Amino acid sequence: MSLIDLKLHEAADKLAAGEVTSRQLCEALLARVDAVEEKVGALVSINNERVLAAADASDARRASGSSLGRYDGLPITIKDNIVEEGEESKCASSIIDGLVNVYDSTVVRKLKEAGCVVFGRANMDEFAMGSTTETSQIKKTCNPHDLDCVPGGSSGGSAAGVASKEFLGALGSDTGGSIRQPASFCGIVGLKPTYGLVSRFGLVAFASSLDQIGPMSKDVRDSALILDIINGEDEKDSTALPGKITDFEASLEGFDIKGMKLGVPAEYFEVEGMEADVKASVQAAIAKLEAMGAEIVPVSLPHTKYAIATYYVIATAEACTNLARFEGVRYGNRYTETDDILEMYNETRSRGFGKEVQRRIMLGTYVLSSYEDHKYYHRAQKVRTLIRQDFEKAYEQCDLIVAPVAPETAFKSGESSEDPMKMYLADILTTSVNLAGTCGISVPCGQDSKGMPIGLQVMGPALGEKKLLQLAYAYEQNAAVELKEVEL
Amino acid sequence: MSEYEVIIGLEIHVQAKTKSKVFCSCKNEYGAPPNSNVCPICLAHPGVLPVVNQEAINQIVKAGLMTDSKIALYSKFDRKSYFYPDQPKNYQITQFDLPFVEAGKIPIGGKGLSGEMIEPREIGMERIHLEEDVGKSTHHGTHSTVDYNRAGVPLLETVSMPEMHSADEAYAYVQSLQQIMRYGGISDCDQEKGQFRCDVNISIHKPGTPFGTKVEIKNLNSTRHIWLSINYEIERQTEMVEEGIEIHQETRRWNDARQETVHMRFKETADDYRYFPEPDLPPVVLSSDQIEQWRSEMPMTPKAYREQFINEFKVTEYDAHVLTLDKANADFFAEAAKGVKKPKTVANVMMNTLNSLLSEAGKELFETELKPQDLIDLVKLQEGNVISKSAIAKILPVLLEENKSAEQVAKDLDLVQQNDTGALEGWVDEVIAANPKAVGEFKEGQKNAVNFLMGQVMKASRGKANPPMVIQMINKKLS
Amino acid sequence: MSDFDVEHFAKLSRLNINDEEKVTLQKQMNDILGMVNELMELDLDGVEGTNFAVDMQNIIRQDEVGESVPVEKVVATFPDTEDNMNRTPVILEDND
Repeated sequence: MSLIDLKLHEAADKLAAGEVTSRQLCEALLARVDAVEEKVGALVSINNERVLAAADASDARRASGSSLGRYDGLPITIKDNIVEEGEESKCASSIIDGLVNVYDSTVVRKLKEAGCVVFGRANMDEFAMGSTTETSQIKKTCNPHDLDCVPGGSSGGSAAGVASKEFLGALGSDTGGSIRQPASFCGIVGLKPTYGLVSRFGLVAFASSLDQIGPMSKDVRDSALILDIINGEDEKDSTALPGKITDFEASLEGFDIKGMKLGVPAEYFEVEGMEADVKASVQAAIAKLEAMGAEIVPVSLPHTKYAIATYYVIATAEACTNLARFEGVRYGNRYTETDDILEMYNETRSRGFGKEVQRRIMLGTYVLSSYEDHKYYHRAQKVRTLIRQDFEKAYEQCDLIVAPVAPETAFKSGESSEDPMKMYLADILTTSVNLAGTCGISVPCGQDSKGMPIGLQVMGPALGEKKLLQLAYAYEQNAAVELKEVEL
Repeated sequence: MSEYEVIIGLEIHVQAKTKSKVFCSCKNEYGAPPNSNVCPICLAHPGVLPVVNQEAINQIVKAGLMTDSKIALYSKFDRKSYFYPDQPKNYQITQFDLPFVEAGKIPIGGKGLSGEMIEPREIGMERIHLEEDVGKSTHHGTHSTVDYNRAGVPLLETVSMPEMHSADEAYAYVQSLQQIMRYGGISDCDQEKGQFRCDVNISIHKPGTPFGTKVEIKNLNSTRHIWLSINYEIERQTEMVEEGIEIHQETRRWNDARQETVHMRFKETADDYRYFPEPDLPPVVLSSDQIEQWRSEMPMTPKAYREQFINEFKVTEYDAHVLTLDKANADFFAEAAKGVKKPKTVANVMMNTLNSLLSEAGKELFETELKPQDLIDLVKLQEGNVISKSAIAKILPVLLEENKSAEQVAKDLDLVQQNDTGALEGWVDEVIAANPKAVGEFKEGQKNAVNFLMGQVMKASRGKANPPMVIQMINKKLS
Repeated sequence: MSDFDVEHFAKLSRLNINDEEKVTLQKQMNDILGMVNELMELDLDGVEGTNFAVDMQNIIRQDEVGESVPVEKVVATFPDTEDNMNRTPVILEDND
């Protein structure tokens, strides 16, 4: 077994046992990056020297008996929209080019305090706006299971890199499905935590009331491990929930699925474009869970069909203000061929932002405009309430909800990029969780006839992560889903 | 001009006194080197988030309580979108529909800048909301430079009701609001430091007809400019209406060199600021108990001072107004007034003699050696007939400069009055003998003659005679 | 539902859109608005809007001065500088 095949928790055990050093781990991964990155395109950037320096520092701590703990020396990759001091966080755009960050995001600070090595920056859709990673201005990311296919998005680089074994685990961000959908497309595990469980300080905002950072990993245990590191209150984020949970990983064992009620929402299986393979695979996973002892109950999430419209109104409204700061005045790429400040703004932004980002900025500006008397925005806020209430009612009848992550598996590159509507509709099964502020995880449950991975989505109530991870772990252990080996 | 009614509303921004900025922990400080009080948050670097400052909330609640306003039990922040280079996020965190403070009152009175008395009344204040200041840009002709030290300084925006009808009233409103902010320690309202900025909305119409089109005068930073620009606007708008020229909704600014308002831009459509609730800041919920606690700790308002002065110290409403213009003066007066029989004398000394001495010296009261006890001693000397009224004006300048007692100074200047009947009688007899003409006039009933005779006695005594005693004695001797 | 006013909202968004893009955008934005318009079907009387994603309140910090970023580090992030200030093209007195 090669070091790149290790799970994070296995690597942690080996580091603790002295069987491997952080440098050895990182060197093995850097060699893997050298070998396959050209094909996969998972990373926006990686600073080998910085990685190895951090690894050496960790090894030195262990050698001198001052290890920072179980996670010391673990390499973890971050999505390009997460801020690290001394690095650029381009958000796969060209508009912020040149801004070397002067601060650390809270998650990066927590990773560093735990001794983790920040192992490069993963590619993404520009400003996390997309579901295929094709809107990245930096590079193309391919699905390791089929290089002609998209890895999903927006955390496509994080997902593809975990699947291609370029890194052991990663942080993604999920605004409308951006962790769960690429995890599903790439056959890995991805968890979108409850809004507020993980600090957003230093996450370049797309939609402030929906964004959450979460783990993306090879297995459920690794997601629990990463979540143990990154969750917790933060005085720099007014929306971060109080407290800190440290036993997500520890509470995976000894969980008994018997008597657990799993809700199945009919609406999630009837959406437009639902592929037969996806439906069958998820239904089989549900049958497996039933066989393991769970009780399956039908639940209804009646406002699911409005989730996309609601999501796009709220997300773009917030986004158009969050992205207003990118205009070339204080940092980044400034258009200098003009003396007119308005023209400087307009050209900087038109050249710096890609088309999808521009569309969403304009949509957001429109829905907030007095031109339409805010009618879409106010209605969307109300429908958001209804969607949240749908979940609250459902969780009165069940502990967790199980459903597909996306109606289809990874598709060929270029299929959706010219038709934004197609891309938007693909988020139908994931956005509701963001609107409700609750949690959800994608766990591999099979593959389609072409061998592309399919994910099972388990959704939980606010702060239901423990149960969510326990169930996902139990499923993973019992179902022992074997995906086709990635060959690069 | 009296044919038209003038409608004026004021929007006033004041910077709140806090140690740190409103949404980040950078120093709230005027005059620091450029960009030395900035951080990723107030520079709007990607990924940052705001956290609201407790003291900024304390200050706005205090401002609300001191203006007799309603304090909201539930308030929230909103984003207001507009692109401007000194606004780092290109949206401002402000409050749209749920501000901390609503429905207040600002008392006006005293004299306007024209010198005319203002009928005391209360002007409605619609609201006060909390928001963040922008950076400061400087224009150099070919380019501009921006310093972000000011970006994120807490601002209280107060919005008046359109209830003022003259430049004098607007002046009095501004003065009253500044006074409240200073009394509360909420803001120094230092115009030089940009701690106070005002936008004026003004229209004219004939009574009984609909309101005229309103014109906005932006960014006035001195009370004098507010007053001047309103008067200019009233004249300009009146002329336009008289000549049948339509007034358009526009924004103007005051050009002090030309002493006129000049056009900035027309407002063709309403501003589209695209307000929506700030998702990064959860709402602020206050309890009635908490508000009552704040109320009990609230500093005394200028109005409360005035009421105390009128009721307890029996000064006139106008005197009370003048005495409370400045808090240090008001406190000085309150302390001095408690120590004397006739506080009105203290008021008069402060408003007249002391006031002119200070303005001659170009000093504030606190910069002098004079303490309230000195004024008490001084007035007591006069009340006890130890010195004459006129001696006060001679003693005060010394007390301002030197740390001496009033009594000592009176002695030093040889101003202690002669109250000894024997000595007085000598001077009176001397004067009666020397001025037969005046004596004759007095006997014929010309009352003025007594003043002349008294003047002569004062002269003879070199100011030390006690005037009431002198008059009494003259009357007695000549009747 | 009226056509999406590309020109107006591009201007408000501080974006320059050329004529060719305008045609594509016009169609795309109309499609998107068609989707968003589904929100008009629902009867939302009496439904409170969700303003905040978390049910929290009064998250307030104490008034303490923290560290600012050293001025040389700040200035290094500006695209153009003059006397430790951010240098920009001439700022109009009022541009909206």
